Amino acid sequence: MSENIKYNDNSENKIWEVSLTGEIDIFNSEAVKEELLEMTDKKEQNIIIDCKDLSYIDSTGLSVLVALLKKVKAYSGNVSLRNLMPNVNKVIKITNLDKLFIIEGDVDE
Amino acid sequence: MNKNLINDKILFSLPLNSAYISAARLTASSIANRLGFSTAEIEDVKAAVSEGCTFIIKQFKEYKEDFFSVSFITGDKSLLIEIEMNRAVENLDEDDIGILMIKALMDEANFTSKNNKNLLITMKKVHRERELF
Repeated sequence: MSENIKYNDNSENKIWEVSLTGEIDIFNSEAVKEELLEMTDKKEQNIIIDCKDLSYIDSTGLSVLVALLKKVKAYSGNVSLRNLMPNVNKVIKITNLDKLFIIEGDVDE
Repeated sequence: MNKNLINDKILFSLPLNSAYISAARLTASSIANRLGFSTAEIEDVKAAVSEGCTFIIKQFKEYKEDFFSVSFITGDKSLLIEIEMNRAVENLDEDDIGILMIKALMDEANFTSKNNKNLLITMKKVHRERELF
């Protein structure tokens, strides 16, 4: 169980509500990946990831998000990223991932 | 800029263990902050250093007993960072997402191998947004 992820099944709206917290890098990204993929094994539904407490994500963390998106797209779902910190928003933009994910909420540039 | 902070070299070595990359990030952040870089510039330096270390660890993950070095060299309105591993890399994947991020975040970035015996990542951030103290 990773300390960097919490999720809740909002069954009324058929959405997985996920919170990512702290720093996600090569040290803990695999544990986060396992939890996210296990979550989608339980129920195939859209995902909203709240990133308001995600202070840092590296390339391995971004790869985890891409792996999740690939799995969710396979069942015709979507992944939204919400409340990105400016530095997290920047790495998502420079890797062009803003074109793949739904980005929600204001980003304080 | 405080002249006492020009041409200093801060050098440390890290084991090939991903647990310590956060220490490299913290050090990068602390030095860039001390040099007066803006918050956005500090985040760029921190992320680029972290990606450099991650790249080294991914390339040489079978050598768990080895160490690699991270050097910070303070310049006049700039910070130069060198990350070096004393082992040759067989195929340098320039399309690695981490390499692309370093190139996008820093003003200069180079990946070289001296006589095919090491891997040296150099990167430089130039201060732009306000005068150094």
